[in-house]
Amino acid sequence: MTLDRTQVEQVREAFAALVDSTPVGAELEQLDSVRPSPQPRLRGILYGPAVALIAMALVLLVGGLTWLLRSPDLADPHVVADPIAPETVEGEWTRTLLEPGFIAEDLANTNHGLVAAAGQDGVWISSDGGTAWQQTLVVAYEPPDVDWDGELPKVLTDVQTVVEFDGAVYAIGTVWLDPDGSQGDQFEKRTTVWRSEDGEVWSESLIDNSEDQLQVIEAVANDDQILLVTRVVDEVGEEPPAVPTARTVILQSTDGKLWERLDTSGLTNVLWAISTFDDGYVGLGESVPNSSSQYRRSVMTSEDGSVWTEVSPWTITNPIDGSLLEVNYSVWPLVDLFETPEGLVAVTIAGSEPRPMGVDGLRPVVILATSNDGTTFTVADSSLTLFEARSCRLELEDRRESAWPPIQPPEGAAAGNRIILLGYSYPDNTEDPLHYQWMGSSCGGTP
Amino acid sequence: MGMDGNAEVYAKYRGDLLRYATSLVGPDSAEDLVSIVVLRTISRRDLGDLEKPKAYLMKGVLNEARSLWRKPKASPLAECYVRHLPVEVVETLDAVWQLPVQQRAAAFLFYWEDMTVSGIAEIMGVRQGTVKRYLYIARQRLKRSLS
Repeated sequence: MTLDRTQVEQVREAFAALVDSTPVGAELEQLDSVRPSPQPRLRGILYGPAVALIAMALVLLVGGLTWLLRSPDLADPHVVADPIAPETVEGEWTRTLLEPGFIAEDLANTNHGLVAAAGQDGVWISSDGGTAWQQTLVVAYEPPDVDWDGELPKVLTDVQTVVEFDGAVYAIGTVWLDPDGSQGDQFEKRTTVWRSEDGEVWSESLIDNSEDQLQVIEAVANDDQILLVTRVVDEVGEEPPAVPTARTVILQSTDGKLWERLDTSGLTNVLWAISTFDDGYVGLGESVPNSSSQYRRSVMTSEDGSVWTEVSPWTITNPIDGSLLEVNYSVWPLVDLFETPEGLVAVTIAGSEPRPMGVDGLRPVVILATSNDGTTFTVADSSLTLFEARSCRLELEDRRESAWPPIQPPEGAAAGNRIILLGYSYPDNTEDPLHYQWMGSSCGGTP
Repeated sequence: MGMDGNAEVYAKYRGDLLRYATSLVGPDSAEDLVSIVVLRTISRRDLGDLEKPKAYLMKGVLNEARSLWRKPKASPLAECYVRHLPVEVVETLDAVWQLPVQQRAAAFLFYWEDMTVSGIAEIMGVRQGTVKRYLYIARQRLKRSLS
């Protein structure tokens, strides 16, 4: 693949425009040749560490070894000294127990930090890369200030996805009206959107979609629009078999306020995960079959979210011998799909070989399957390199042998060149779950 | 070598570092990006003690740019600046800007700095094959955008 001469010149001119905008201006090189001493800004940079080291030594000498240097900003729980997550060793993962914990339904990296949609636990935010979290949106079973047409006394709210668009954070979920079942299965389900400029103060508005009972799957955003992928269950059959049929409905908003249903075509399977990628969208879909043996998955792509093309069955390559691993419902429960600086990451969970999890005493393993073309995913293995990294394989430390599910699938997001996963496991059937954050380098290598 | 040595090395390479940083994160963040990298480096060792200070610092700039990664905005340049550029340059710039940061880094070093693949590999801290892959995908995307 080469560029012709004209295109090369175009690229050079583009870089020239960028370089011309470099700070300090075009006189930079002239200054280089005549200025022997550092500029004031650098002088501060050079002397700053020396002053800090001297101060640190004084503190240790005067106060003893039990003293810790601590930023005064830490007194405010909303502020952390270092907004960038601590460094991790390439290819290795750290695990942090989260207390209090929550079940993340979705995770997004935003300008206000990591934001997690946590179902009935509302929205949580972390500004330190995912180790310390605060709940900033509390959703109620019976929200006090909402007029539900005066007829619906019980409300259960779920926040299911979160996305950043045009500087604001949007948490999107569902209100279940009459969740106590007094009206049987006839409760009403409506989609609701919370918007926040800072991740802390939220305003709520309902999407007028009362005609459909939408199940929120995931929202994604680019510079132009938010796409909200939902699923509609059209029919619940009589037993036997009680098999629902489903279809995907995508809502679009270009301002975060008005939502319109997109006319879609080419969605051969029901979308279960979606991500922005390469100026468009990639979705992983799964058919809703008549029996579990007929589950079928595929990768679908779209430039605009409206017209979709199935590009392949969803295949995952075995990195050991290059063979295609069998993909079916029991082996690869799909968890999440998100974009990183180096490509897409699909999070799946499987037995440790991989084989179906929860049988034969296999350890459950979260698998990060990565793709840099948006269509073919490869399981990262510790014995091979991928994206120049040594490992993207994460083995959750839960050794229970028989119970299922021993590990709940984690949600993930890219934060810089790191991958953050939130998940939880049950140490024992009778105990509450333990919530964890895992952090690792994004298969990218950081020398 | 000490402070004077640090200043000397920094003065020698800061132009290159700022231009490189600008190509990766845009002009608004470039200076801060370079400052962070230099500060972090000299808190650990003198710049003058580095065997290849330019390559080392440029690698740091790329890593820091990646750690700050977010989905790129439509254009790295302010509208008042873009207004004075020819349309085709703006379009190309947009296409370049939409490249992932590593592909953009490889393209900048190849097309603007006229570096060889082996030189780029050293600067980026990756294998030559990886640079070729970055360039291949970058060209593919640029060709699609420019044609």
